[in-house]
Amino acid sequence: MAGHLTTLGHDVRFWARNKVKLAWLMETRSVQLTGAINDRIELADATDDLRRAVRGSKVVFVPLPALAHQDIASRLIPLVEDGQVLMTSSMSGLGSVVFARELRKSGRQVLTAEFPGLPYGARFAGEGTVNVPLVADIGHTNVYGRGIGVFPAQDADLVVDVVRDIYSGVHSAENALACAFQAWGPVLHPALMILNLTSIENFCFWDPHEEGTTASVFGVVKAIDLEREALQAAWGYRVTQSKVARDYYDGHIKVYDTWPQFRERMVRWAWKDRLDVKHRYLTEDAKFGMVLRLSAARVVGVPMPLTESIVRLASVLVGEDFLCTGRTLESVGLGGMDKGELERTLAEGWRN
Amino acid sequence: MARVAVIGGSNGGYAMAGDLSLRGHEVYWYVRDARRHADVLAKASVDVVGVLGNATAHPALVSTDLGEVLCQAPIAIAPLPSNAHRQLIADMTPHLQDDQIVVFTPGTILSSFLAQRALDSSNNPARVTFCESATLPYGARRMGPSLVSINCAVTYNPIGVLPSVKKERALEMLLQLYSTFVPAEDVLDAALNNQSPITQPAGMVLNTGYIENVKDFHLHRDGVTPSVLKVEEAVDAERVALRRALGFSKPDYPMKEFYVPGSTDDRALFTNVIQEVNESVDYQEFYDTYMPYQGLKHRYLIEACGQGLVFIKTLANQIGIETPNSDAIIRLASLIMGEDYLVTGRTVEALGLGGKTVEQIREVISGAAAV
Repeated sequence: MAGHLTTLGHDVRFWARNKVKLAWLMETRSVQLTGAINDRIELADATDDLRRAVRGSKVVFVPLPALAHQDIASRLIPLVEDGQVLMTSSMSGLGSVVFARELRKSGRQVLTAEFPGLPYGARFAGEGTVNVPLVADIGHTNVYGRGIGVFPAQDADLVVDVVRDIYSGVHSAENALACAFQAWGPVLHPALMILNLTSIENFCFWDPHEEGTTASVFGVVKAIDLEREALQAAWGYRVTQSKVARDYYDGHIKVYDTWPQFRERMVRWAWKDRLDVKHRYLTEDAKFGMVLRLSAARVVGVPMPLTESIVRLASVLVGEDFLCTGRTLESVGLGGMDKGELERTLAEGWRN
Repeated sequence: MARVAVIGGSNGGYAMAGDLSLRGHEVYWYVRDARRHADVLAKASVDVVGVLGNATAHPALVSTDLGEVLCQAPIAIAPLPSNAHRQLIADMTPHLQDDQIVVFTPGTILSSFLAQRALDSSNNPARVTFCESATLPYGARRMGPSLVSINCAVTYNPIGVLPSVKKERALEMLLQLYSTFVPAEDVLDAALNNQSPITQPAGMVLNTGYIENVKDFHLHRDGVTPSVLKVEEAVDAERVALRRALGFSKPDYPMKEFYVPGSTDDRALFTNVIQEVNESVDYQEFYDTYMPYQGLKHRYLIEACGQGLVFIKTLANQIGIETPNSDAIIRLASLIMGEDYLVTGRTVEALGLGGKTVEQIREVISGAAAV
């Protein structure tokens, strides 16, 4: 993200906690991007001093997994400035609400919003280089063509105005929860892990996106996606097409690309994480993303038995009951409300 | 030496007809499909290799006539997958005789009870004793037209008797055939110590991608990593909770003991299975002379999930035990197989035990009360 936005001419101040691991970046501020973007870029700043990165920025992007939200929020809140836009991009959803909740304590007038996932597929490829095989609709920097979530949603126009200067195609979803329902990580990743468990543990070369996506595996993914669509419908939100469930068969819906092309690129770009059960495919996508959907499903009485099955097995594997420890509406301060009350809160924020 | 009927041309049928004949018993062997079993029908012999030795066995009779086979022996054993049991029971019921002992090895789950009910509602007035063991006494594969490889033999095989009053007589006769039989309280006690519903469905589901992609899958060799074991243990804990709630005590033959010998204070049905199976060069999980690679359409899901795990889940739920882990495996297996096992499988309702309390179930299963 820092690299891509620099190539678009923005003044990017990059912050990372780990000074040792990213010493090369902090020293040189220079990164070679390969893949969908081929450019050598020079960051405006690269620092482990969060204050230095945040000060004077118009937008603060937090492209980190949901696991890190709470920690980053508590570091960030004392530093943010009135009028800034704070944006998360985790596929798990409701990052904007987590940050907004922390902000209430500070009294700062900061806008919080979220992407329905990271707009990039990217991996470090050794010192000095980042592979970016995937950029969401790079032509007009339209993130997914799907809406971003703004919390509270009444600030949507303000946020969209600011973010459009960076990602020109951005528009807003109904609210943060509607945005959360659009992400496809929770549909795809946990099922791929669970249905390829032994292979992932036995063979370092086994890629669940490639070898592991067989007809039956895809059937499960598709069925999980249908539960997601039913959830969107029950909440009265626009039913968005998940790239995985449709493109694989149809191939004509433009999101990243068609699914077969997506797979090909994933593989070509050495998308070979060393996976294990502690990978964020389970510890984020199941624990935060799927659990949130189950929690939202209970409010509207929609059954999601497959989603539940995957969460259950993921819980056993990680040794932690995700239904208790994961991201629920309750855990972000939206508990104990019926649908109407929840939607009012998503639109207007908390009262008092 | 005993006269015994072996019912079925399964892997287990080949092993059992061979093994019992070699040990001097008079074996009457029924195979249904004349084409599939042409070789043994013509030669009336079967070649046995593996852990019990290598030799050619000569059953007294190999026949496609079930009635002819059943009238020859006071004991009949059916080593068939339980998804074949309904048909077998229907075919067998008219031929059963007074005092005959019929054994399902195994009955995944309660085929003995189904057979008793079928007999009760038939015109056949015979009084028959039905038994059911936790497992097949072997790990075996048919390797050729008349060749079977026995790769491991059971150590403990719990067996229950229906009705319970016939327990002593039945066990006395059956122990002549297999010294590994261990008396269980009743047929349900024995059936709920079958590990297949635990190891097989979870082992298949968690390897879906590999099974479809690699087409050479061996559950015990390739399919069990620490994480798979974790899931199987979670599913197994639900089975053990059910056993306790029904009043059955240890041994529970826990799944973990099967893969990690000595890891619990309990024991396993097979003590050395992993080593024996893995050392055997000719053991192939999916080998079948007359069928191509079955992939996921295998009895490890069709039988062990549809007939076994579904029963465990529905019975547990009926008496107030939650089974979230079994639920997850059944749900995924149903989706993968395109068949809702909670509808088509062997549920408590399908066995006529729906709505019954623990006491009522125990009474019916012991044969002391009618359904």
